[in-house]
Amino acid sequence: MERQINMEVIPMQAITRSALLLSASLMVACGGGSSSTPTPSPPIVVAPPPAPGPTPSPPPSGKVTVSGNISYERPTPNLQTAGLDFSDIQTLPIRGARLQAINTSGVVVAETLTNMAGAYALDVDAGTSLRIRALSQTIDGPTDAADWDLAVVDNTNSNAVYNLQGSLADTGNADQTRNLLARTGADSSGNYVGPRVAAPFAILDDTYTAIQTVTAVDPDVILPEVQLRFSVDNKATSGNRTIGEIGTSSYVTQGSDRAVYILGDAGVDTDEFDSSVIVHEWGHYFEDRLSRSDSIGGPHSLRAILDKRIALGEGFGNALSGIVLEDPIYRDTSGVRESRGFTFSLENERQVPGWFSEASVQNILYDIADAEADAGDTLSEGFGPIYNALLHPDYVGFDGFVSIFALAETFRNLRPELSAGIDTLLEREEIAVTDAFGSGETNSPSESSAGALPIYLDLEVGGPAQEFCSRDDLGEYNRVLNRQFFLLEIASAQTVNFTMTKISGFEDKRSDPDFFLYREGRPLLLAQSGDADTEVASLALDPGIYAMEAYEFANIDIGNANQGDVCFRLVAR
Amino acid sequence: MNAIRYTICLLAIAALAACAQANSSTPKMTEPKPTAIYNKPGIPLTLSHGKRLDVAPGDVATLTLTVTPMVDGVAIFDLASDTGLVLRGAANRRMDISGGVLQTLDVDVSSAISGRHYLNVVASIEGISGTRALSIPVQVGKGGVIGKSAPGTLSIDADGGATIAMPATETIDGVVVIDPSQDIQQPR
Repeated sequence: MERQINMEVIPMQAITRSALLLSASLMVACGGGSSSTPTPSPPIVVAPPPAPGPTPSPPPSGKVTVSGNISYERPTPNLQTAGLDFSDIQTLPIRGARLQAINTSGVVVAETLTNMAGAYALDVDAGTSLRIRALSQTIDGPTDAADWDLAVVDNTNSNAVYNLQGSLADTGNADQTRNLLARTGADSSGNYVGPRVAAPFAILDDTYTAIQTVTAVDPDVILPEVQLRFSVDNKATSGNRTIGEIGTSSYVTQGSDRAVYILGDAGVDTDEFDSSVIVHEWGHYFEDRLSRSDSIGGPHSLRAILDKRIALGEGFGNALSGIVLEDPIYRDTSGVRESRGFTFSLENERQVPGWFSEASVQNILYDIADAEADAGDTLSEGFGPIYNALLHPDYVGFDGFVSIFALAETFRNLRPELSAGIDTLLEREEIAVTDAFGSGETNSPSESSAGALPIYLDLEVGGPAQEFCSRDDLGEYNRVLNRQFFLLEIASAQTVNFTMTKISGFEDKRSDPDFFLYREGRPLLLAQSGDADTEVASLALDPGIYAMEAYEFANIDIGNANQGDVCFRLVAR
Repeated sequence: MNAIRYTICLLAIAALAACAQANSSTPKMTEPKPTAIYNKPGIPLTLSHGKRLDVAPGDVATLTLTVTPMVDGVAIFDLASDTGLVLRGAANRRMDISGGVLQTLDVDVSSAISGRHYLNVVASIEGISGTRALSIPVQVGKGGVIGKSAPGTLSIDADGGATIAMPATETIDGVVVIDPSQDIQQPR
């Protein structure tokens, strides 16, 4: 399959590949040293003698080998409360992390990556004082064909990379074992009584698992650099992200800056141990940077009647969490001592089935991948077909907006032998088996199909005006009926003038019509003036098919008191 | 256009720049805004708040929580603050959200402590699993965010890179040499 990915040069942060190559032979030898033995809650007890670590080649004369295991603590899910159980702590390896030896001047004198067991080994000078530290950053190793660079950083501290730091200690004249453990900082009841050191490494570990899921189906994948920004000051309020006002755990695209933000507000909502949330948000990064996302984001839930673009993106994120974590249950904890939370199944949430439901999308995608054969599910294909469809040029370059319709059509074309199974899943979720545009769909989420169906109206240059309404009946911002979608085919290069005018509704107040024009998902024209009751814009267009969306601004403005039903006429000349 | 939240502005700037013939009747939005914010899943209810209030120490601020429900039922709001913000009234409020109509909830708070406080709201809906959190900021006098204990110390490496050094529990040849739990910070 030819892959078209918008790639960029990935700079490595403060690391030389040569340093990694120097230690490659040691890493290859790293194989033992599991640290998966459960560790008791605080207070700490002296660890048992370290398990056998890597067995590197004998160091050069005047050198010693410092080796050991790097691990972090993770509370387990409390299945009764859906919260976290801090009285049951797992100790897990910190995998694929940058591991450094630092001298007394703060200079990195040796560097490697921890292996899958969290083990490391470094040759360093004998009789020198140095410390070992592990960064909350994973990059591909010298033997990896894939390329990635992911760091967990503190958005309230200059996006500094967290590091788990050992002591300055003499290396002596014989090989030495140094083990580092990142603790939760919580007591057995979940009260934070110390530094929350494990947090960034828990986030790192979940995303490392996600990366491994991707490299398993595409060993040569190039994953663009990404940061996951976490702080104990990250709160559920929108504002200045550098002081922690991040809104919620989310993937944010702002110009060229694209990053995942993770809540850290203990006692209210903190997500470092919510693996489902971490992978879900990483999934948005994956979709945005490797595939194509037309999602506009925003609040959503399993019961929401969502814009088809959001339904796809959020359903994919949910399904990916289950695929990566090999767990059909999505979990998100919150509240005092993270003692409450909620869960939902990735298999059978069907409150409002249809093309507008993130639950329907997650059910379909998870069932394509999982080995469980439940109702209507005859597929057990793993992540591969989903990955291949999401990256296929037909999908990435689709003329309309991407949705479950476009993804299903790409599946069918790529794997015709799976078509019957995929169509059965679609029918189970009350989604029409049709083309990539959703032509002929009859499942309307509202009493009247007007505004919801057909999925697109055709707009013709010089043709009749299209009349439509923008409504708030099903919610605001990212819900079905807020927007009307159009397809516009341009036969020959020309400048097209668009005029959108109010025809009814909002009798006692001004309307604010807006429209956007896209080509293959890329916005070309943003007509969003504040003009009352009309919006006019023009653009020179090459031949091809364009997608448009048009709406009343108040209906996509969260909390706007002027929301309501208003109808417009759109013409192209 | 004020306070537009749905924007695909910056992504499109390059595209727009390439479309020199594009024009419309009035200037387009130029303020840089996020292209999109992909939130984590939550309950079928949207929470928002108005502009941040600035009050003097000791003065009462009335914070307005705006609730946009998507299902019928009863919403429950747990209100709290951990920075010395005093809540006037019940810390647990209920609201009938049937009908899907946008509603507001006013909450009076005050504090004698200067700095940026937050009223933490955890919303749930009876009979529906899950919560949605919102922190409403209020600036009392002067001063920055009243933050939590940082997990480590910011330092600049010899190569100029910034890192947050966090204490490991470390054993060297089986002997514990660092044990942060023996020197823990007490929560504020």
